[in-house]
Amino acid sequence: MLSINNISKSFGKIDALKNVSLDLDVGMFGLLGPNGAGKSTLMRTLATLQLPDSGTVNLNGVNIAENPDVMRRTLGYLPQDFGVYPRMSAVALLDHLAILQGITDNDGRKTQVESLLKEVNLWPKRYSAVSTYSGGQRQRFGVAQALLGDPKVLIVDEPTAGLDPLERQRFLNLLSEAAEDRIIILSTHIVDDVRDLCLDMAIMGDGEIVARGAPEDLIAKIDGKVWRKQVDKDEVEALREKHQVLKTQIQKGGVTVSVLADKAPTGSSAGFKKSAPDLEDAYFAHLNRFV
Amino acid sequence: MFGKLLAFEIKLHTSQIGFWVVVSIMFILGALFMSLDFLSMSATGERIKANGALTVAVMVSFFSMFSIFFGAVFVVGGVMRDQVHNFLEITHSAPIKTSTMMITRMVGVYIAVFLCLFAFVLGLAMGQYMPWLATESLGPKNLLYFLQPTLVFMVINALLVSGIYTAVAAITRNKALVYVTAIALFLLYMVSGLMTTQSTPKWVMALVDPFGANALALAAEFWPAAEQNTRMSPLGGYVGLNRLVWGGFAIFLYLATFKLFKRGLVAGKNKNAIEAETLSTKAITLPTAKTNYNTGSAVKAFWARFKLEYLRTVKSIPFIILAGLCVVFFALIVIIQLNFAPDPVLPTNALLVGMVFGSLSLPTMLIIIFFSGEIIWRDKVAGMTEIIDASPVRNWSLMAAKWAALMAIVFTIFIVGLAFGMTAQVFMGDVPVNPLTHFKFTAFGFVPTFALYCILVLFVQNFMPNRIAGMVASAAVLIFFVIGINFLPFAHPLMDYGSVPAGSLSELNGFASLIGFKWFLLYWGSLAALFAVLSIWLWRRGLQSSLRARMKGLRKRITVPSIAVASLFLASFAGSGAYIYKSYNIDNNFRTAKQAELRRGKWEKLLGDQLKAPIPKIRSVDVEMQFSPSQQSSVVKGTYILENANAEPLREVYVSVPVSHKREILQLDIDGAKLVTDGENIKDLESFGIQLFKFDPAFMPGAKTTLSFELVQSPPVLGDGSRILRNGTFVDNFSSMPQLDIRDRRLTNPDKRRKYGLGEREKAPDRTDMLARQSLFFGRSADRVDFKAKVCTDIGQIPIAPGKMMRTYAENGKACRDYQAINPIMNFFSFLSADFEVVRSEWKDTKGLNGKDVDLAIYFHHEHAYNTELMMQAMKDSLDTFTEIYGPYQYNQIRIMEFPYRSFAQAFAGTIPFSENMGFVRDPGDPDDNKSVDLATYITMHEVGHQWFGHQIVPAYTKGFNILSEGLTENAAMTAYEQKLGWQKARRLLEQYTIQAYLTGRIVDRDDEPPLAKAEGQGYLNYNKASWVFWGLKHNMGEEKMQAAIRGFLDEYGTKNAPYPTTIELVNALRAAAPEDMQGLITDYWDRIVFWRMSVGGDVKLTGNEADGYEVSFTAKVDKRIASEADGKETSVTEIDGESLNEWVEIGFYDQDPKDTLGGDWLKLERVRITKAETELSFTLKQKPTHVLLDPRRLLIERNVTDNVKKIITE
Ligand SMILES: Nc1ncnc2c1ncn2[C@@H]1O[C@H](COP(=O)(O)OP(=O)(O)OP(=O)(O)O)[C@@H](O)[C@H]1O
Ligand SMILES: [Mg+2]
Repeated sequence: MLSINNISKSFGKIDALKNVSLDLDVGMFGLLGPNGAGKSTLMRTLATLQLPDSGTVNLNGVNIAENPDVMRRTLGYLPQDFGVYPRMSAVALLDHLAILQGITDNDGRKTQVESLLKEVNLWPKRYSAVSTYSGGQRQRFGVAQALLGDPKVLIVDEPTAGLDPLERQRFLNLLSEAAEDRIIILSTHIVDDVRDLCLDMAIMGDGEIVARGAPEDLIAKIDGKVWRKQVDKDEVEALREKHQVLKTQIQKGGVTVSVLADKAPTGSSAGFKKSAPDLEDAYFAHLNRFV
Repeated sequence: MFGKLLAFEIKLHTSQIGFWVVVSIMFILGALFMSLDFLSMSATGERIKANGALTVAVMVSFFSMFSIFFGAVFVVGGVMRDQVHNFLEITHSAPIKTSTMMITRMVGVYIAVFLCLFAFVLGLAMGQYMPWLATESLGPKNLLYFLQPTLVFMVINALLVSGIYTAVAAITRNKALVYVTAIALFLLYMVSGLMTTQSTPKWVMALVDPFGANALALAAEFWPAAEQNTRMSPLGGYVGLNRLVWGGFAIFLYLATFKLFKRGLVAGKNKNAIEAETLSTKAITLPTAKTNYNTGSAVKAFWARFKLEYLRTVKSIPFIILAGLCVVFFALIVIIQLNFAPDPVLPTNALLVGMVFGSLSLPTMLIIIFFSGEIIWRDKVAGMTEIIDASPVRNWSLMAAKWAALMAIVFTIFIVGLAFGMTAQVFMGDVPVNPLTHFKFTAFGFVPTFALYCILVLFVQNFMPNRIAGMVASAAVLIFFVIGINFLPFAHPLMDYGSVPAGSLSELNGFASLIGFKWFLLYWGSLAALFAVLSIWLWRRGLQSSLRARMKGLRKRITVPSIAVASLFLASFAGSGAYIYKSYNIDNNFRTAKQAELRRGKWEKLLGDQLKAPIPKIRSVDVEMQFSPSQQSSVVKGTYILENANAEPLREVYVSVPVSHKREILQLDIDGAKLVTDGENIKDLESFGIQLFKFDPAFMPGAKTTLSFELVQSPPVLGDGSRILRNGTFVDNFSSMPQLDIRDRRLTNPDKRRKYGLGEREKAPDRTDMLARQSLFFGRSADRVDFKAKVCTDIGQIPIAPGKMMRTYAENGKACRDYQAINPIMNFFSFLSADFEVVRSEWKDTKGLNGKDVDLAIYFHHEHAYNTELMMQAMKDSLDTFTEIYGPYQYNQIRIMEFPYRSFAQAFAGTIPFSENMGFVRDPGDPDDNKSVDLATYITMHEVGHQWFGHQIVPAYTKGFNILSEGLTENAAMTAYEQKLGWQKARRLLEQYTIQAYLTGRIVDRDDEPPLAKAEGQGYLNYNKASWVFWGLKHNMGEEKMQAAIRGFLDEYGTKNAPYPTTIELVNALRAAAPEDMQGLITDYWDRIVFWRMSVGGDVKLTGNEADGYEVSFTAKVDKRIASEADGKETSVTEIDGESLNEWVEIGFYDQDPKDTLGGDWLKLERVRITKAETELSFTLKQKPTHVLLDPRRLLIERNVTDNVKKIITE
């Protein structure tokens, strides 16, 4: 049980986190938000890499600011952005990180390193320097190291960035399997990642949690209020002024505009059709605080 | 476009804090180096002005060297900034022409580097106005003195440095390699400095230093103060050559870089990507593994980290390059030292390991500075911080691994150095390897200090925001503690971080005492341990790791056990510090440099008058010296018979006792006199080691009395060593027995005297002062004395004193010997004790010149038998020569004894203590090679020579006194050396040592240079100029005539009592023997300071043929210049009324370059009388000459002889 109570964090004038509170239990938790929303800041705070200015984070009742080891011992963490020591092979580096994780038993470590490398499909390249990997390969290495030592809390910051569709799918599968007895926090700005996997999620914007709940609950809130229409490019601006525009998608032959409204828009903007909301609609609706 | 871009570049550099930090540092350095005479690079003061033309030029050229360091940083920031900030892909595809981009960046860096250097010049100029700069040290302010060297040196040096780095940066695109280049450049600079002390060819010396300081030093070689103050750097010659070569190289580098630089990314290699990826789509199953977080796993993590840190470093290209440079540097030092050094030494164990570390220290410091940054910032630079810091690994595992790795790297270098040192020794094959010596030297002399330096540097990194700042700060603290602290007038060993003094290592005695070593190791070790604890508390973990954030989080990191440990270290640091302070400052007599100077001023006020007050004379000495080498202590007991030889009665006598504490005086009594125990100055007198006795009734003229004493030399304690060594003790009477004439402790440096308001120092008495002629140069308290000694020491060692050995016996479990002088000796004797090996021989008086044979013995350390035969032969050769030329030898024996640490040999009556670093381990070289110098033979001959000059001829203490001792001895030694090895080998020694030492000695003297006959303490006159003058004189007036004159002088004054002779009597004897046309020359040599200048003007004409002979004609340019005593300003005799040119000049003709024969093997040697500045000369020769050389035997005192030779060009 991970409970985040009223944490705030600012960098100079930027308030990266404002009074964020969350209680998380075993299972997969998705954190959705645009660039700069504060997702990474939250995750780094959870990963004990920085301290909140105020508020507390408790893992199973223990304050991790006071007792960071409690978190670190059960944590698997994949940073959004990381580098590796040059000229060091995947096996060597992973083995090294495993020791830092406290896996001191040589045989156990060896098998775990082996199987992890196989699982993330880096086995054939295990003796190549990680620094020469492609972006996606390096990301897979990051995933492997996050899984070292059977972590009970897994924090992954945009793990699917740079993965090809096949790998992304495999990784998401793995996460959902692992979520059975773990707390997993996954940040992303790709709505599909969350929709496919998470039973619980939060939407972050400007350092705040703007919405929290199961994806279907968030969608339910706007059920029957989403209207779509295909329009010309130059009409979009006018629509934005009048309506709560959720999103605009450029498609063949024009732009599909989705708006949030209790009733079908009328007048100059007539012709909207009611449509079934998806998570993306819910995301924008909450992010823009239309609901 | 270009202008705008350049402006941008310059703004980029000037907006960095680092740039301004460097500018301010350089400016401050300039101001300080100008205004503080103890920092100045010349011996500035009243003679050499702080703002003199050459002083400024030397500093400007030398300080260009600093650009090595900041230049590298600017290049990385300027030229390489895209790589550094991972911006390469963006800017390199921007629409700017590569050429424009490259040029502006290069010029930008150049301007930044130049501005920083120029700040130094501005600082120098400002320094002239600092209020603490004494007006006497300032010459006229001349802007040109600053601008000219800026143009000649800095403008080009900045171009060179930025050019080199830009080239490396553009070609390798590797930051680390730019820094490595910096270190390599610095080492090159060090090697170039090393060469100046050796006999490397001058053009090599001039070229090898890229910054021109060497070339300038060569060009300005032997400039006296007057010239240093007003002559600017020459533009041609060595300086011109150097500037042309390096300036050209810089421009070449710029052009090459400009050409070579290609846009885009450098492809990386991927060796291992052979196996194809096989993608599986099955779901991942998480494997499990046990984790644990106990101390064992923390240790394991430490070990894994340590291996990683260490191996990553030693396998990195920078390390391999740097280690390679260390080895090259070491090899160069060995090669230069053993081959090119004018005085080669044998590769003994102590010497070799000393060389290893002599050459490794500096590169190792650079390695510490560089790799401490690399190691501490490794994770950050690699981008691994988040992963590692979110793992449960303990802070201490991470930190200890980094710290241990840096130390392991340093030790790796040491081990490599040791291995190379021992291998080199094996290859040279002269001396068997003794690994223990190598190991001991390393373990005591270097390991602790360097470990402490590592820790300091790592500790400093805690407070630095990034790698570069860390490296700069590390360099700053190391420079401060290694060099800077010694300049502080209030420096105390307790401030000298890292200094764990083991002392020097002797092959006889090992380390003299390790007490200081142990305490300082505890003291600094505790501080280092405290640093470690603090560093764990301050360890950077996570992302918000600014110092402030870490300070805020400190509370959480400070745990009870860590507090306990920290307090323990703090307590042992403070405790050992307090104990050391007590031992040094309270129990013993430690004084800072400043305190010591002040004390000498106080001494002068209190006791200056006593230097002239009448004192009794010691007539006989009877002494018993009991050494306990195993305890490092001794007891000396004895009596002096005193006589009042003055005309008036004596009422008091000041006895100076060489002990550190009053309690070490067991007995001190004078019959008929009472020790004064209270009175106004008694405490002060005691603090200077002086006991005052009052006679009541007065000690009447002609009366005798007895002084009896018993003094203890205590074993070494912290803060005070012992003169008694476990093996190889050597003490003289001044350092072990009471003295009646107090040692002159007045400050001699005139600039210092001015500073402390002491007025001008009274010089030695005039030569005509008849009262002064009553006292001999060893002191006023004795003429010759009867001497009897009993010396005892531990069984296994041999006790030695001057005099005939009367008896050897054992007494109270000690080995004892009785010695007695067969005729009265100087009141100057020594006591030695060591576990000696002995070789004996006898010099046979075959020609009957001596009246008796002389026993010869050499007492030496068993490992040092290399030259004993040679030294024995040198003693015999000396006796042959000296008995023949100067008359009989006065004692029954000559013995040479080896002693440790210090580097000199000293002649006591028939007894010569000889340092283990001198003759015993010198490489005498090939006797047939005229270029090699055999110092083992020479020094032995010198010390034997003293038995005549110093022990038979005893000078009065007046101006010029030491000429009669050292000067005449040098002449004697040169004569014996020449007889044994030939005149060319002798001339080599003259050029290599004597001439060099005179010409350099006179320009670093802060006091005036007197004419030779009136020299005082100046070694460059007493030994060197005297030797040169005797050489010149004997070849001018004839060897036999001159030696006969000296023999006559010796017969008249040798072995006689007061009045003692002076240089007046000597010079008169020489004048009497010299022909009329040499009288002027004698005046020039002895009574004034004269420099001749000779050169061959224009071309040499050669006509004739083999059958009829050849006619050579040319113009000889000759000038004689008289130098001022105050600042060496020279005036030609042609410009002085009443003077004229009338000189004997020798001219040699050669059929090969005389350089190869060292001026010997001439076809013909002519002597002509020259009276004009330019003289047309012509000579006929039978053989065809190729070279003409003026003064081939260097008979005239001349500074620069490169233009004395001319190659003859035949049409
Ligand atoms: N160390 C820092 N110093 C200063 N500002 C920071 C720091 N870390 C984060 N910020 C700021 O805090 C805000 C939130 O950043 P954060 O990285 O948490 O966003 P994010 O939601 O992860 O965005 P993205 O999706 O782009 O990764 C941003 O405005 C960012 O500029
Ligand atoms: Mg982020």
